[in-house]
Amino acid sequence: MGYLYVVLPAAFYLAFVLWPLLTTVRWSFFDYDGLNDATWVGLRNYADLLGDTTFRNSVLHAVVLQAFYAVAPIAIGLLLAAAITHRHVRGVNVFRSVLFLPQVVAPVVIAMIWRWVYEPNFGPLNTMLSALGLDSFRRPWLGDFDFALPSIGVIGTWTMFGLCMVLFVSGVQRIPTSLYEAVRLDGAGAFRAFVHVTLPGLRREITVAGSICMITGLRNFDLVYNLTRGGPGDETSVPVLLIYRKAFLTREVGSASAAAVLVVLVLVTASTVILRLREPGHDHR
Amino acid sequence: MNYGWTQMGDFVQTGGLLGLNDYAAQYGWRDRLPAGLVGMHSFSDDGTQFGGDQLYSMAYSGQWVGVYFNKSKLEALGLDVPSTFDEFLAAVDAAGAAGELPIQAGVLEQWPAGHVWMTFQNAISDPTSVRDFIFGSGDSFVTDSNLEAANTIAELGSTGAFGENFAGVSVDDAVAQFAQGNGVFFIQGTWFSKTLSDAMGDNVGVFPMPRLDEGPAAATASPGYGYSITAQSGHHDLAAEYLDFITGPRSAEILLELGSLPVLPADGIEVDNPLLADILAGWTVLAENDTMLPFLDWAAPPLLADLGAASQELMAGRTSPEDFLARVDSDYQDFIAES
Repeated sequence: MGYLYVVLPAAFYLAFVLWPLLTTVRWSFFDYDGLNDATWVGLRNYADLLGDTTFRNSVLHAVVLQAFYAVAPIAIGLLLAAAITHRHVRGVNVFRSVLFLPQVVAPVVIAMIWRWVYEPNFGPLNTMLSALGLDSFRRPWLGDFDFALPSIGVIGTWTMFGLCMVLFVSGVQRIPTSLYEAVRLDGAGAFRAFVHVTLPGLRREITVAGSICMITGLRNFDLVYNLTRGGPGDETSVPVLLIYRKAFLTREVGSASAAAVLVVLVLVTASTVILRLREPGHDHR
Repeated sequence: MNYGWTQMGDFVQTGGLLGLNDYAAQYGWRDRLPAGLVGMHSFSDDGTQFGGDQLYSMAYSGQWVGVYFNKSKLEALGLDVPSTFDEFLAAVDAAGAAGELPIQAGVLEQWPAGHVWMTFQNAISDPTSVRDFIFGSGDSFVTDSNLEAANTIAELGSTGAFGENFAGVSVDDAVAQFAQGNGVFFIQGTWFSKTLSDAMGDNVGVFPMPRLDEGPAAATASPGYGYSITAQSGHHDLAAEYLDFITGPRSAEILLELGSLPVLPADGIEVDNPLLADILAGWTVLAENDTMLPFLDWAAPPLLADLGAASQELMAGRTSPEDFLARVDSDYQDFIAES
């Protein structure tokens, strides 16, 4: 009887997740333009992709963005968590809600907001730089060949650090205070307490945050497409953008499918590695 | 339905579109299109040749890419509306010297940069060769006149004619900023005319970029989206009647009343809106001289993304004119070789 409850979600999952996934894998072995007949080409799409400079550069850009989407938010989240837990901060719930807001705003809206922020002639960022007397720091941010990628990265950090902070704050509250007392008695200061008690205690939360951040960083099509289309030139192109272009603009559906499969493989591998780190060597709980 | 290899070619190849030659003969549709536009609606029956014999769509509106100008700023500089290519370049210099932004540009979305390229290419290269190239002649994109066009853009970029921030400004913001008085010239399509006309009233005009060789102006021009009849439809005659209606004279009248450009050549029609009058005048000149040229990115699917990106780099001085030409040529030749 219990299985009946599962049938509907299972059907949904089959139709909208499994079936497209398997079809994509199938298409990746064909030369297919989306409309006419497909020709079997085996692994040629994959070989071409791995040898294609444009694709390799987009992978490089995605790796750079990971620093902004994963490393920075986790670091900031840890710092914030260390700062506001075990301390009474007035209005901490308000802070938490506000800092978490980017997670609930639609990506397209985020793109529009930041496009305005980065607008070179009248946008707030350049205006503020001028007001501070830092005119030489003004840039056409999203159109700057050196700063466009970091500019997008900053948006990633802004989006993710609230989530990391919330995860870590709730995680720290589960660490027994007796541990902190113990290290204090051993003469450790705040920093050593952080390294030896907080960090290990947050291992699970860090791996969860890491996974989510990494995946978000690889799935930022809406941001890149709406802000720069991969430009200026190809400076902000990322694999998911290339998948879109190949599938819908240049009619290389087979190649797009191969690229998608590669992205999924990378994500699965990285997630597995991260989850391995989760296995605690010594569990305080 | 978008033209050339952006969409139409694929659908013709799958047999999804009804060939319209018979209906065109019956209703006289070919008389409704300026000569240069017929090819844009056409493919060969097997869908391999863009610009072939079979008509596949009709459209009711037109558009072209030209040079908008701020009338009061030109006057303040003591200049007339440029009537030759050299006068345009001189005006750009004068504007820069006077501290104005010579050419407003916003190319964040990449495709607007392609339009800047096309405008200069059409002013310098031979129109027939440009058209043949887009329709699949397979000729090389690396020609002396294209190189000259690329050099011109590179030079304008490096001397600050586009300003400093153009690569980071979106085209919509550029339109708004031009409307607010930033920039003497603005190279973009007539699809922005309503916004500019509402904001600037009498103060804005537009002209097709004059040719370097002082021949009749050539510009990127096309119908608005084309309407085709699906082959599977059970109501071909009815659909054809509808196409006839929306592309006919009454429809053209209504479009003009609404401030839009109808695709029918406009003979001696009076309009109050000065910008619309300029647009009609430019369209008529292009129609009479058969110098309406298709959008360059219709020539091959990769160009849809690459032309904008490469043009952005050219304007910003991040790629040399030679490399720009080579990149476009390689995308084009790869596509030609495959099909």
